Formats: sequence, C-alpha cells, structure tokens
Amino acid sequence: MGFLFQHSGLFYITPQIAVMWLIGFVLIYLAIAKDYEPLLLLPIGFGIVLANLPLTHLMQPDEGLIWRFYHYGIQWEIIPPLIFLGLGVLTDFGPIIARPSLIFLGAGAQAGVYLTFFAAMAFGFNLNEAATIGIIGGADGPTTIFLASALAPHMLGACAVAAYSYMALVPVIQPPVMKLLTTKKERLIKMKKSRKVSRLEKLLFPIISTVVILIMIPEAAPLFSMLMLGNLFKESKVVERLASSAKNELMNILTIFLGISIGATMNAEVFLNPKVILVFILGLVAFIVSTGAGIILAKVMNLFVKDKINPLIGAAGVSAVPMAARVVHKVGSEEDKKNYLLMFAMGPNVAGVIGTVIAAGIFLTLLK
Amino acid sequence: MNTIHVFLTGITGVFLGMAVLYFSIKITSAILNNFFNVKSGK
Amino acid sequence: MSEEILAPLEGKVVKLNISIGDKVEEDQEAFVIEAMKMETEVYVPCDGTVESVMVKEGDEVEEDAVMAVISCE
Repeated sequence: MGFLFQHSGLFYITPQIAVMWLIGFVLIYLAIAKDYEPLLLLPIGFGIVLANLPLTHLMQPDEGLIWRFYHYGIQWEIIPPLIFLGLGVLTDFGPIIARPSLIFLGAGAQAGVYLTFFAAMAFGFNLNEAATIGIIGGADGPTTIFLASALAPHMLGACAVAAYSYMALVPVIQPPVMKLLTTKKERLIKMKKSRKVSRLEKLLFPIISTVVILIMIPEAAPLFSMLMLGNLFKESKVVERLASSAKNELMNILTIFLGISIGATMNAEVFLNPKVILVFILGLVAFIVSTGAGIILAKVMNLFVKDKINPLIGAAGVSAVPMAARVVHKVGSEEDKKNYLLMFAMGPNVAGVIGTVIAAGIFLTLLK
Repeated sequence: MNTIHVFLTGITGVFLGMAVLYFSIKITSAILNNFFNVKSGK
Repeated sequence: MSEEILAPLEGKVVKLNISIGDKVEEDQEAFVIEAMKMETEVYVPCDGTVESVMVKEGDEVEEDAVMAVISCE
C-alpha cells in the first residue's frame, strides 16, 4: 500500500494545478452545455486537465503518449496542413471567382492581425510572440497553431484557446462592430447577383493560385498547398473517395489529435502567468479590428465601384467560415428580411482564409 | 528586423498577394471567355 | 406582374409554407432552406397571389433556382 501511495501524484497537487483543472472543466462545460466549438474545446479542456495531473508523464519528451501526438502532429507541422486539406474540400471559391474584387475584403480583414502585432510589441512581447498573437485576428485555428509551433511554441495553448473561443463568439463580437460602422442605408444595400462560374474556372483556380502564391511566398506552402489540393479534389469531381475521406474521416481524426495535444501543452507553469491575460485581451482586439477593417475597406471600395457592395460583408473577411458569413446574413436580414447576404458574404469569407495564410507566410518569411 | 518593417511588409505583402491573385483570376477568366468560348454565363 | 422567388443559395428545402392560390403578403415566410449548418428563411417579395410552386419539402435546390412565382398586386 505504501508503495502505491508513494508513487501517487497526491502530494504534488498545488493551487496552480487546481486552477488549471478549473480552466479545463470550464472549457469542457462551455463545449457541452453551450456548444462552444465543442470539436476543439472539449478535447482541449480535457487535455488541460491531463496536463495538470502530476506524475502521469503524459507530456514527458520522448516517452509521453500525448507528447508523441504533440511532437509528431504539431511540432512536425503535420496536423494543421492536413486539416487545411479537408478545409479545401469544403470550400467553394466560386463567389470569389465571380467577383474577384471581393478578394481584397479578405485582405482588409488581415489589418487586425498586423495592428494587433503592433500592439503586442508595445506591450513587451517579442517579434515572434507578437506575430503569433496577431494571427489570432485571422480567426483561423490551424493557421494560428501552425504559426505558433514555428515561432512561439510556448504560446501555442493560449493562442489556440483564444482563437477558438473567439471564433465561437463571432455571433456576439461582430454585430456591435458591424452596426457601429455602417449606416442603416448601407446595411440595406442589395447586391447585384454575381455571374455564374464555369466548372473549368473552378478547376483552374486551385492550380493557378497555388503556383502564383507559392512563387511569391514560399513559406506559405505547407498550408496553402494542402488547402488548394483539397479544393482540387473537390472541383475535379473524379476523386470523390479521397475528397470524402479528407473532409470527413481525416478531418475528424486530425481534430482528435489536435485538441488533445493543444490542451496538454497548457500546464500551470506555462499558462498561469499575466502575459496570458494580455494574449486574450489582444486576441479579442484583433478580432474586433479585423471585423472593422473589412467593413471600412468595403465602404472605401464602394466609392469606386458601380455595383455597390453591402459593407456588412466586409466583416466576413475574418476567416471563420461559414460563421462570419452567417452573422453577416443575420445582421443584414434584421434590416430587410429579403436581403440574402449569405452567399455574397461567402466571397470575403473564403478570401479571408487565403489572406490569413498569406499573412502567416509573410510572418514566417520575415521571422523564422 | 524591427517592428515597423514587419508591420509594413506584412500589410503590403498581403495586399500585393491578393492583387496578384485578383489579376490571375481576371486574366484566366478573360482567356477562357474570349479564346475558348467557355460559357461563364452573364 | 409576376415575381419569381429564387433560391438565394444551394441547399435543401426543409419547409414549404405556401401553395398555389394562396393570398400572400410581402415578407411572409415562404420557404426555409437548409445549408451550411444553418436554416435560411426565404420571404415573399410582394403582396399578391401564389401563381405556381416548383418545389416540395425535401427537394435539393441550386442557387438561383426558381422556387415559386407570385403574381403581384
């Protein structure tokens, strides 16, 4: 009996550990009771609890079970690009091909990333940390994780939880910003129907965009190439088995490993320091600024175009697909039920994914 | 590598990347429509 | 003068609230389409009578498919 007792973790429990358990429990609660991004926050929450159980050695380098998931999946940068493979299968770039100018709304929303980067530097974070905090504003889980692993692994847990939490809160965060920055008249704008996009155009898009973007920003390759390969699977229509697996089984398997691994990096030493609170505050700022920047850019574009853009869709430049587009549709329908903004908002929404990957690629090029 | 440098390179970089993509789409669509008579539907 | 109700996006018709001959009002809920994990309500564009209905519950529709025609007053 004594032997068992000696090897138990009982004497290693500290108040800090108990706080981390509480955080883990809260995330699990939010996932189950409030449906907050449960696919990620549930395993993350549980991973946090696991990481803070003494003597389990789950995260012991070279030995721990979960360390192995983390090392081979995230440190080796395998999981985030493969998640993008699945995302590419799920994404329809038609709205962007039909009205290419909407691409810039996906770029505008990245302004939040850079302004937050600036603010993070002002708060004392170093270049790499600031970049990772900034990319939270891109509202893209895998990209955030990818960048964090490369530039600031000690911030991986905090940034990932911040990113996924705020993505779940998009319906709460975005509408006030949208209503503040637009007039009722602007919100009532009905956009002209886009032209139909041919199958050939949708087929060429992933191929051409990959070549073009990767020549310019080679560091974006792991994420971008997988995104476009997935899209090619979808548009070619001849590899339905691969496409289906990528967006279903593969995505689900990867999400399992991703969630546990991220959660397990959040032990008390790493997470319970005041800088983490700053990360959450800055992350929220990033989301808000990205939303606003997209809307403002849409208003600016309206000065130059004949077919007016409803500025609300600028908010969808934040790459929370399709959440941000749904929020845009809902806010628009509050003014006029017959204004169906959803498909128009999908343009900036998918452009935002590309934008965030480009922004991450640029950070990697400059800072790695 | 200072803050301003990263900031400015970053923002211009994203817009430049998007601009290149924008023109790629426009050019491809134009080629498909004019030379190969691929119906894009108006 | 007739107005068509077009599908604003691709999806499945999960609710159909109007039938041929109904007197309808503008902004009345005509259909509900399910797509992208949300339900999108589609509304009647004008006061009038339902001239024809092209879809039934359970049908998959494409973006811009004509779902119904209303004859407007």
